Amino acid sequence: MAEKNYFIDGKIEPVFIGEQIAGHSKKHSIGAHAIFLGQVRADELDGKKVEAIEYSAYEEMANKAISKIREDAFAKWPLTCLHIYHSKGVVKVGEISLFVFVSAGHRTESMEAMQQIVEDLKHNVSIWKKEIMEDASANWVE
Amino acid sequence: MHIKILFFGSIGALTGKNEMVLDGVSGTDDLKNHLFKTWPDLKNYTFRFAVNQELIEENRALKDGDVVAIMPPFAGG
Repeated sequence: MAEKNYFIDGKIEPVFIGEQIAGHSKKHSIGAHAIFLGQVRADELDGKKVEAIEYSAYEEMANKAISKIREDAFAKWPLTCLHIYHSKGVVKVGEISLFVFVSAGHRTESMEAMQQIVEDLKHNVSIWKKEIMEDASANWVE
Repeated sequence: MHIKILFFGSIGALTGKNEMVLDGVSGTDDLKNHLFKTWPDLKNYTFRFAVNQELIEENRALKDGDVVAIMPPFAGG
């Protein structure tokens, strides 16, 4: 079976996020959605501002790692749904690059799970980011 | 014996390539020495190996067809 793909080319559109929320209205066992959005920040380095981040990944390995994060979360908390989307390629300052959507019966499990999932996404998935500065120079974030 | 090497993140920028094929490397320690000879600056980088998408901590013997990824610290999100 082909590995599920969690990557989206470029920014994650706010409209897409809204559609995902609307898509859960028929799942009546859900009482709480936790939503985490990662947005590209205009950090400053040596007097230069970040203009965008270019994400790259070892996609096959990253997709497997994200599937594992989902499985672990479902094993640990009583979740109804868990959707994860991560950008690849260039995402400009102010745009969304990570969308995690956790749905459960109650708030506590949705928020506890979210905390763990976002930590795992940051540390355990083969994704790299290069900050593209306003003068077009680059800075790898590690 | 062909070993496929994949370079990611800052290390891809250092080597100027995304992948290459090497012959005659017996294991990941041997590969590391080979890479240090080719790109001495690589000694200043923090990285880990994944062999066939599995992260490894210690030397791993390599066989024909293995894929080794050279990976700087992850930075998702």
